[in-house]
Amino acid sequence: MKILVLSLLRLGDFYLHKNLLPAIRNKWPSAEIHLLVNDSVSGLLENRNEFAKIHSFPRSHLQKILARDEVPISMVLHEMQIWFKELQAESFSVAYVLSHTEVSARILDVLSIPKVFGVHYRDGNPHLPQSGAENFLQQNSLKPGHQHQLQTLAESLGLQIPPMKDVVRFGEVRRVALQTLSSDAKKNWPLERWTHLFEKLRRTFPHIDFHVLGAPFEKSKLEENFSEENLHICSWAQLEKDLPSFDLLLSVDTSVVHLAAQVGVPVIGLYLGSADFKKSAPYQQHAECVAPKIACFPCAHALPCSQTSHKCAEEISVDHFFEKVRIRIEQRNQQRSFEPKELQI
Amino acid sequence: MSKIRYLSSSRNPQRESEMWVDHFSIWDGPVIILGAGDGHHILEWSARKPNSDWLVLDFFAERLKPFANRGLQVDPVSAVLNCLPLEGRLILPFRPAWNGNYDQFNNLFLKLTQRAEFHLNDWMVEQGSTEELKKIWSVVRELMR
Repeated sequence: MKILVLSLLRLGDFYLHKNLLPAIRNKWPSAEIHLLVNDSVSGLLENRNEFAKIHSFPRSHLQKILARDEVPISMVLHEMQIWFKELQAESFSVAYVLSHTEVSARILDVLSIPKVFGVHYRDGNPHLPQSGAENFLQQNSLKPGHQHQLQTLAESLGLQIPPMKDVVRFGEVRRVALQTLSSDAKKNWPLERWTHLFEKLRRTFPHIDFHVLGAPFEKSKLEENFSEENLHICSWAQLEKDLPSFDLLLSVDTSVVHLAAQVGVPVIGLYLGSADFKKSAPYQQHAECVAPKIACFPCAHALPCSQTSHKCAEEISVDHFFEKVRIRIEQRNQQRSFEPKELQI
Repeated sequence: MSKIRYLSSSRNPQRESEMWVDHFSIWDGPVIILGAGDGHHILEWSARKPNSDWLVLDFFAERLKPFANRGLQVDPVSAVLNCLPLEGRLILPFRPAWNGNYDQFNNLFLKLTQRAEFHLNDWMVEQGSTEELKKIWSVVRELMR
């Protein structure tokens, strides 16, 4: 039996959704699990053994060619017909929709998989077959104390709620990573403030190595504010290997936060603009989310900033963020080292 | 006094044709160039893409003659619409050549690209498997929002 898991959002969402995989495996222990992700994500997920096969939805490619009005729609539909035929040939028995978007729901209408968990269309009609799915869709924001959105998603799919990753790290903080850039300008904190924070942290904790993370295409921008020796520039595949060696991550809302949560690196996240920590906080116990207390926060994802200046970024001072980090580091450094009893002399 | 209608830039048609080819040069597959104009863009395309599969459509046969004489593949619309395999080709509009006949050219452009919903519906009916195509279209349409 084959199961198709749809996670048609961004890379960070995929890492968040990965927390649901054990529950799907528990429910269908002998099934072959396939993953469907966007083409922007599939290229970064090579050589995964947790999935029998990773299928790529050519979203970026389609959006690129559909933006050109010389491309006939018939050409796109023929291309998609071939793509759907290949996917249909897998004969999936069950699908789990983790992305809950109009696109994923419409894709399932074409695939006609017999059993679907999650929001989907069947012959053009919307289906919300599981209790809780409506709650998930209507859950625009959580009140403090409410559960993480991933838990609501799990409930809506009839899956066991995955345990939240508990970060247990012992010993002194020696290496701290700073992820200063996101792909969305609204979510960014000014690089000058990051530089100021970086210098202040280095002065206060001279024994700690602070590294600024970045993708190769971000290198030149980061070099304008940080010296090359303080940069950790690498591919996503390399970051997956390198990130566990850090004791703490300070980051704006990016996929790196969710990767850190997966590999057990404690996170202090900075949530600005449309970065709603109630929805996209790392699935990690004791993760800290720093966010502004202003009326327009969080703003709509697709809309530009409505203010005359980036007020939410201005609201978070370097001193405020520094204090959060300082307390976290000092708390960790005061903890006793982990000494397993059987090794005690 | 009748108004003069230019079928290409009156100032620098060569620069215009170079920019036009630059804009479409990402494509290597078969194309239809819609609008012959005074032909600068056609000569530029044939020079830059000598091995590509392309043809020119225009409603006015006399505009095509100079290029037909050079051995280039050009056809008046009425002669080709029902006999050439137009599907599978990109439709490259040369809009300066539509001057004076914009609606006629634009309707043909929308028909060939199915960028108007009623043309798309017609095309789906022609294909036969309407239900499946409609479902696929509902996915594609979401990506265009």
